[in-house]
Amino acid sequence: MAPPPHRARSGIGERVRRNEDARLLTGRALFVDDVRLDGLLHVAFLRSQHAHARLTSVDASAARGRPGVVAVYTAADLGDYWRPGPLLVPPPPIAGLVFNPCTQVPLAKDTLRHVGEAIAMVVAESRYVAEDALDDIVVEADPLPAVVHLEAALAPGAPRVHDHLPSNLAAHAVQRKGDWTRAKARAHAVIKRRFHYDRGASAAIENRAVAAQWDPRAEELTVWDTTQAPIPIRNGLAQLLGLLESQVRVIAPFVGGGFGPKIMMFYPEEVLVPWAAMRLGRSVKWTEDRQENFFATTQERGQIHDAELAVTKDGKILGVKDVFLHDTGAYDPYGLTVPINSQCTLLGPYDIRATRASSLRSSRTRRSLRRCGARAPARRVRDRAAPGLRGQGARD
Amino acid sequence: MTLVVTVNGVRHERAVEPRLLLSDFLRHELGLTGTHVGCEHGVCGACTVLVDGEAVRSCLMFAVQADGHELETVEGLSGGDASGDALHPLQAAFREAHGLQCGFCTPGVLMTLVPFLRDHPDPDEREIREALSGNLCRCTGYQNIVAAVRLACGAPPSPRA
Repeated sequence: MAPPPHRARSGIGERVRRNEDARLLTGRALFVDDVRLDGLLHVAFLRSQHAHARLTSVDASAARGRPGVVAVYTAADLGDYWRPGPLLVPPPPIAGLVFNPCTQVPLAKDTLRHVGEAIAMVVAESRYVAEDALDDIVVEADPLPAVVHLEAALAPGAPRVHDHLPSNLAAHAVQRKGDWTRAKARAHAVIKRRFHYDRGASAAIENRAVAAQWDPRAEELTVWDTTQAPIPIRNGLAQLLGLLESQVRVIAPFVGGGFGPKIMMFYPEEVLVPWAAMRLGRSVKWTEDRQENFFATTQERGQIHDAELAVTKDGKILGVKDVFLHDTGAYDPYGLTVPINSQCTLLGPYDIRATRASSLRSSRTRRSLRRCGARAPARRVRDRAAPGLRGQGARD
Repeated sequence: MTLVVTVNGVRHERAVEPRLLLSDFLRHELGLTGTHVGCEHGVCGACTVLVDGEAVRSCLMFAVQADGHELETVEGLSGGDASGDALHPLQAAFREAHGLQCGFCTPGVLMTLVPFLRDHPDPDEREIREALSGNLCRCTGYQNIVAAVRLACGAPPSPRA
């Protein structure tokens, strides 16, 4: 069939030459780690080796004395700046909602809650010296039992990741449409399946990076950040640092793959690097290495679904029930966003009159958030349960 | 230690620490930030440069090991022209076939392919994929990277075209 006559003008299906490609192909595109600033200082973070531990002392005196080290900060050194990060998305109004969010802290204070959690920040004349100084810091920590498996996290007597909460339950949300009980009673068959979704890392080839420059005379802060959302980061940093939004400029230059974890997390490193630049009056940069990326950048998708599909003999789906667990990790600054995406995309394009989707989030082991917003697990629950229809004598 | 290297035809003489990685030397001492660092342990291939014409991971070499050698980075491919008018044929093929998205892995991919195409001027798809097996790309799924290489060799841009 010949294409419609307007196709050549529409751009649809046509190859479009991108404006940015020449810079990317010749090595002249600016990524955050490429930023060159006068007198730039470099940062390395000391991180938890434990999944769960009581942090009893952090002695950074030897590190502070190492030649080339400009500053070492622990939680105690942050003073009033130490506070849990913002809850980025408030929960939607769901009847009967249980919601116990815990957002990440800039540096661990009394408890280590996941491997890779930042304990101390070293600022030095070079990254090599900053990493040398990490070995000078003496940490005393008493390991505690860790919660690693999703279902074990909700078992009675499970070790609690956050002491101030009665259990590891981060939230419990139930959403309904129609009458599942009635749909089930009317069904020719009910197909039950369990689906496991492993947690995954997005692993962009460019790791995270933050560089900050404070101009004390103009009283302006410039931040280069591997973020997908520079405006919210600007607004949030201004609030955290006691500045006007007009005093803060956040630049997201070329970003080497975002995939969700680089959205607007207010990661510890993201709030500490600008703070250190202001405090020291020097430009400061931190670039994540790959090992840090595996432990300190958010992950997502750890879910276990117990799904039921109520079907008629001719293959019509009368109802779906899906009770699932979602792994929030140690901290959940995005609140309910991710499991709500799983709930709300469960039905997809099908005409399904009755639904009951429950999400019991738990297992605060390591932080875990985002990538594709957990819509994919819901789609797969729906689409992989459906082929079971054939085994029930229903029409394909 | 004193290091003497030629990079993209320019001779450099610098005093460096023996432990300085070649990738950090190129990026932060010479300001050639087109060479990217993705993993620092030789897995992702983003930092690939040419040492005496052969593809090498610059994160797995100390700068001092390059003493007396000839290096080429992605900045040298187009003869220093960033306008897009003087792209190397391989760069032009990548632009034409949309062989990049975020572009972070791209310099390493290009520098891997330059010696490969010199030695294999007419590779089939299997050989192209084998040549790219040491370069990770998280955006493209590799389809258009392979298409770009085929285009650079004068083959149709995509097997599906």
